[in-house]
Amino acid sequence: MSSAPELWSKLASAGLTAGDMPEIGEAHTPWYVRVMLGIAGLIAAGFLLGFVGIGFAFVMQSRNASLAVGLMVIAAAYAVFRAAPRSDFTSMFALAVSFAGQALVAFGVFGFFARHLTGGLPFAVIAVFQAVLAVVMPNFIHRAASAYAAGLAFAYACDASGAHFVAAGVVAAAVAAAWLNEARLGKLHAVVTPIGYGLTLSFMQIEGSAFFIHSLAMMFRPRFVPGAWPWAGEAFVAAALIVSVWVLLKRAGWPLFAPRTLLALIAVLAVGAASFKAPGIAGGLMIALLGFSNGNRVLVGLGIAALLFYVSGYYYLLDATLLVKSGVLMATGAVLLAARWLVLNVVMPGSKEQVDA
Amino acid sequence: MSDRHSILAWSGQGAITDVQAALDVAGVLPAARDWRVFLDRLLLWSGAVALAAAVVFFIAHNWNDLGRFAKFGLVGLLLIVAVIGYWRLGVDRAAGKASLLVASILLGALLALFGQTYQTGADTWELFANWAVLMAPWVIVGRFAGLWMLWVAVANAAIVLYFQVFPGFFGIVFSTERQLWTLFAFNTAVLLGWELAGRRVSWLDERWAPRLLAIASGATVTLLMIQTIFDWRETSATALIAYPVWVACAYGAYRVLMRDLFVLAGGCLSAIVVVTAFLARHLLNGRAEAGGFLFIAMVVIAMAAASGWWLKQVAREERA
Repeated sequence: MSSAPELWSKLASAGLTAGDMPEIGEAHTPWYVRVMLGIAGLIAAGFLLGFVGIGFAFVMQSRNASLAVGLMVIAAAYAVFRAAPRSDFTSMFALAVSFAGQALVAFGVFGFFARHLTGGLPFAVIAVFQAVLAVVMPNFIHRAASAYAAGLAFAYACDASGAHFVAAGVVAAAVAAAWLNEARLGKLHAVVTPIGYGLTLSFMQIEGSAFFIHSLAMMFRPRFVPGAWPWAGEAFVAAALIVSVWVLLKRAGWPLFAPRTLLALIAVLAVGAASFKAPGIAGGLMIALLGFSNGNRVLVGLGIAALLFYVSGYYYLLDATLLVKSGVLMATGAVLLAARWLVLNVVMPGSKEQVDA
Repeated sequence: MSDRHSILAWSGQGAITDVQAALDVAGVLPAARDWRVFLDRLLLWSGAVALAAAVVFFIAHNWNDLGRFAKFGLVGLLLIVAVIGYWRLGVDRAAGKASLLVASILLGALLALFGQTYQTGADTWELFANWAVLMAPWVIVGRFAGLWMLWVAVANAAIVLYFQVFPGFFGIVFSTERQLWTLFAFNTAVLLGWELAGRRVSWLDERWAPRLLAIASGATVTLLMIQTIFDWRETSATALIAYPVWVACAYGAYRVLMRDLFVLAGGCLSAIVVVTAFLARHLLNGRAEAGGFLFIAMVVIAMAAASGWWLKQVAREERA
């Protein structure tokens, strides 16, 4: 890591800068401080909701009032974010107020769709609403939280509509699109990066909860028939992984029909195929690869954590016996180690010291 | 601020003409050699963990079509192959470390198979305790953080399971408290040992492991404090002393002696949760009034904002 003036001078000499070096603004906030502030915001929002529920009970009892007050409160939070973007107290206040407002909007939306709660429509409305907030609200934590909520609401909407297989694939594609285009959309970095994190977290949860929701459904509904094409969800995730790898190879200047490119894609295809029966492997690998390609260690850590979570969570999946799952994991492990051998010896051959270093 | 964050921040202000090229010039993006090393590690560790998990799942299935000698032979053979792999590859190579990790997991599978086959009558906590004891020599010679953390996880599982079997003389309520105290004492002792040894031993100088231990230590003492706040008649109230001491020690260790913003942020969150629990217990218990909710919300917001501000100051000092 170099100092800001040194870095600027390096970039300027490469002809990559425009104008003078901008003033060094607010220091970058580490991710764990943002997580701490986000959790505190949720706690505060819970008590604000309690305040509204007791002090203004009529708001919670009427879907119109709930929706109207929720929207007004979110608009007020937006104004506070805009008016004092660098004030810690006002930003925290606006965050908590907006979270509480979103809960009120959700009450209102569910009130309007009370007769159709089993369908996917209310969740679809909430997904669209949260997606708009993720773009509009000028605060990193808010954007990440809204993108996360949008991803989850979209997954619930798909689940409730019987299209279980769509959510994981679509969110995986959105995650890949966000991180692959982070540099290209550099001017919109303040919007794209938090949305990328929020979508990644929702994707990890969607892939993880697929184990438990499907298993619970099988436990409580003996005649449970998995939605159409239950394998299609993982196929879409595997496709997102393959496309991501292809884009990264293209970016590195590897021609599509060169033997090493094809071998690399075949290795990725084999890993993707293995994760048809062990959900999450392709998704976890995709997050780790995208993180590494962007020089983003937090994202690499999320991908590795996701892989560990999926392998341990796989134990509880009721779709298959432990014997079958053991065979699937054995095949997956063999494929991963074979892919490693292929990378080290055929696709990217190098000296032995490079690997051991 | 890292180079990556600086470039992205400048690009947001329109000062960078080609962000991808700028990240490349600054050395933020990985070169072909970095990719090779990363893929080697990623595929090696994920493959090794998948294979070890496959054996554990296989033993857990308790397949009757395969005789006990065949099962013992299979797990024993794989264990020997993993140990030979470690011996041949050596402790300094990633593949050697992965072999030792697989061997350690297979040791647990072998113990589980023994208990499953001979119905020894041993409790589950004994399986994990024996596993931790038998694995310890490998952990010591292995010299890598991941294996130590596996050992810590196995030991934590043994403690949790022990208190499920022996709830103690005072019954279930004190059992939870004793379990939390034991977990707190164990994880804090390991954390302390790690931080002291990490200054002298290079392979222990990885921040992710002590941070996980700090989460385990901090979460248990915070739970003990919350338990004391809500059920002070039912608890020993030792947390009233232990919690402030823990906060003071964490501040001293991670603000004065060394800087670790991660642990400080966790400490701030713990303090916010404890103060919120205290206020909720005394302001809302039996008389839920709107003013009480609003007051607590404002206190949480103020504490979080102050924590955020303070942590940014500490981060700024780090960079200066």
